[in-house]
Amino acid sequence: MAHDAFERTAPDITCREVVDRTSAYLDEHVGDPIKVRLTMHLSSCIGCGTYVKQIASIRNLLGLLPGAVEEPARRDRLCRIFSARQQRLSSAT
Amino acid sequence: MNSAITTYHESPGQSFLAGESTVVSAGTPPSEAGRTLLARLRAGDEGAFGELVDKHHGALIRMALSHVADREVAEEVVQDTWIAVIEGLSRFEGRSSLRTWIFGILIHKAKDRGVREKRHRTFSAFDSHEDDHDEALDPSRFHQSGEWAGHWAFPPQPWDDQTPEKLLASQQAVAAMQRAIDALPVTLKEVLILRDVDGLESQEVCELLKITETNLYVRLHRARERVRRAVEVYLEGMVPEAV
Repeated sequence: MAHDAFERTAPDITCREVVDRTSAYLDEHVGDPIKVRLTMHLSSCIGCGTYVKQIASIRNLLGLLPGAVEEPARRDRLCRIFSARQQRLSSAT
Repeated sequence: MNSAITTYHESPGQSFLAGESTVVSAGTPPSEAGRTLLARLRAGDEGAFGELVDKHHGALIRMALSHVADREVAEEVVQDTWIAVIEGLSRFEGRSSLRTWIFGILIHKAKDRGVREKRHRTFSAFDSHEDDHDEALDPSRFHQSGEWAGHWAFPPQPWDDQTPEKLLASQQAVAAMQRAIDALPVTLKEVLILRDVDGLESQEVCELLKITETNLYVRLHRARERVRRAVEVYLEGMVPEAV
């Protein structure tokens, strides 16, 4: 688990520091001491609570964006190449 | 299309790139579903290969576009990747996940093509690099001094519970997010695509890009913040009832 200088020395946590650690916090990649302080800060700071929710929404939306669509002709061609390769391998063994 | 025979193999714990045309992947073991898919592929199941293409093609194109400037070239890089997957499948030993292996091949090919392209290009926005000293969020949004230094001066305005699905249903909002992704420097774009768009585990992303977990989260947060900011700007331009 990643720990940094801030985690060891800072006596308190500012909104700016919460912002910088938001993604690691959301993905549960912060150590327990910093997680406790982030959670305590978030329980009383509306601005940071809003920010963390928005980053979580963005993270979730990114996985739902429409992707590039493979053209059927190219997909079919790749599948044919795959089958031909497998047949060559089968006949060689 | 360059479909020359290229050797790809795995070797846990070794360098990711062992030579000009050798891809080595290591680490994250395959899941049960991954092992089943691999067995079907090895049995020559064309449907399984089609599923693999459908599942990863979009993310591979986006990943290729992190390194090359145009869509047509990205398509060629991805096609070359699939050919290499087909050619290398019999030698793939399953010590890493199939997905990690495929992305490893793509990244190698895309970087190689990107380097060759840059030799023929002058400076452009595409070449922009992330400055490690950049802040994730505009520092002017925080108090700069006094008792509240480092705390919000201009906090984000809350979104309602329906905002995410309304954003996804809006072509303009989706376009704004995609423009923000396209505009990211390559170091931010590749982590965002691998982790958030295609859902690779953070460990897989670190292995593929050879970066530490701390570095991953610094980059990932900057990338997510730029997309969040693009949405914030989009929403500021909307009438309040619209989203």
